Amino acid sequence: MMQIDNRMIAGWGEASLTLSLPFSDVRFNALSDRQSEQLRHTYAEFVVDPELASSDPTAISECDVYRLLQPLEMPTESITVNGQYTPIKVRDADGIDLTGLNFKARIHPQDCRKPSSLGVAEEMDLPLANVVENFLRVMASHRALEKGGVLLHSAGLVIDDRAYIFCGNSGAGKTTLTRKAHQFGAKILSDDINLLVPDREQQYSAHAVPFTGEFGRSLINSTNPNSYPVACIVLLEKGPGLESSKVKESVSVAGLLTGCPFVNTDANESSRLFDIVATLVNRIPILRLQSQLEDSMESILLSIRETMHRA
Amino acid sequence: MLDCGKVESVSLSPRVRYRAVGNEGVVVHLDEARVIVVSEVGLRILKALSTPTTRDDLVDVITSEYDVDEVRAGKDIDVFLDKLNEEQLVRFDAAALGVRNDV
Repeated sequence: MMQIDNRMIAGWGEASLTLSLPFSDVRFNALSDRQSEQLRHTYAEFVVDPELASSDPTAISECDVYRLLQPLEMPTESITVNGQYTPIKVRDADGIDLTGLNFKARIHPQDCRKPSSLGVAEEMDLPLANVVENFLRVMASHRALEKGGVLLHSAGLVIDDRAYIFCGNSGAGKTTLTRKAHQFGAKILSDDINLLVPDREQQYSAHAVPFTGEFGRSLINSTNPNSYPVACIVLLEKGPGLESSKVKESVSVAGLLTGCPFVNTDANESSRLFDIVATLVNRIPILRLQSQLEDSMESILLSIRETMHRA
Repeated sequence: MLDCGKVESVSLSPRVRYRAVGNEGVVVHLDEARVIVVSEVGLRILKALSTPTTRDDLVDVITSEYDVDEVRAGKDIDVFLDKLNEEQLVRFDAAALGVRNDV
């Protein structure tokens, strides 16, 4: 039994599993063995031995997993925004309540010491991407801000050990570009969402996160580094031919804000998000790119690099 | 098209945040994560709309700060307010709520 919202609620078991994620280590507690096994399989690259997890308690986010007493009956329209499944996020002074189709969660984005919670009614709902991954995405988006970075809807492609980040909403061409890049020999951080955070010298790196879209990731072995310095950010646009150009500051800020899920709709984070994005825009080249299906990755890369040199 | 002459006052929606970037403005609608860029004059109008304001007050602000006559300013403001209304960034006849939209 555990205390959630001042009530004693049953967990699913006694197993725990720690994921080492670039924004924080996250330890799931009170898992059943089946849940633990499935999470271990899905996030194999990110699982850490408990003995090797950070000894700094503030670097670990605890997450207590529990049983919902009954399945949620959420009307589809209440969890759909612009045609896409979007869990309901309600923020109060202490944290964030997240309600999805089949889960409830509580996250304390600004205080690692307070355990988060994640409840499902069906045991094997927990490891589903629309549960655990949504939970982690929301947590990551807020924790990124704590580190002066952003979680960005984007394809992260690593070429010559530098990350090229291509931003765009669904349908903008991220996955198509990712396929081309993979055939070209690029490593793929993610074709859907990437974490960009600055280091102490204010140099930005793109970090591998366990969130992918249709393509998935290609960095599946531990010999690859988990982060790469960011070469540039490219705003993907539909257009008649291959063309790239520098983008003015306001359009860059707007383009990146559009791509920062969860936090760009959070009034409490607006000011900080504007600050972080404005800083990012001043430190990393931001370009726009129009391309067509038949354009090769080589020609796309050449166009981008020429524009970067001109800028 | 919105008939701005018939509304008493207009103000930014409390679900809108904006910031000056360079000499332009970047505006975020928090409900749908829509982001738009407005010109320098648009940014000035957004600042004026942070509190309930009449169309005539907006015309006064713009004609006093920019080299434009009243008729032209009025037409441009009508078009801009129409656009803001389409994007659900403003509300009309709203009571002041004391929300700060500039971040």
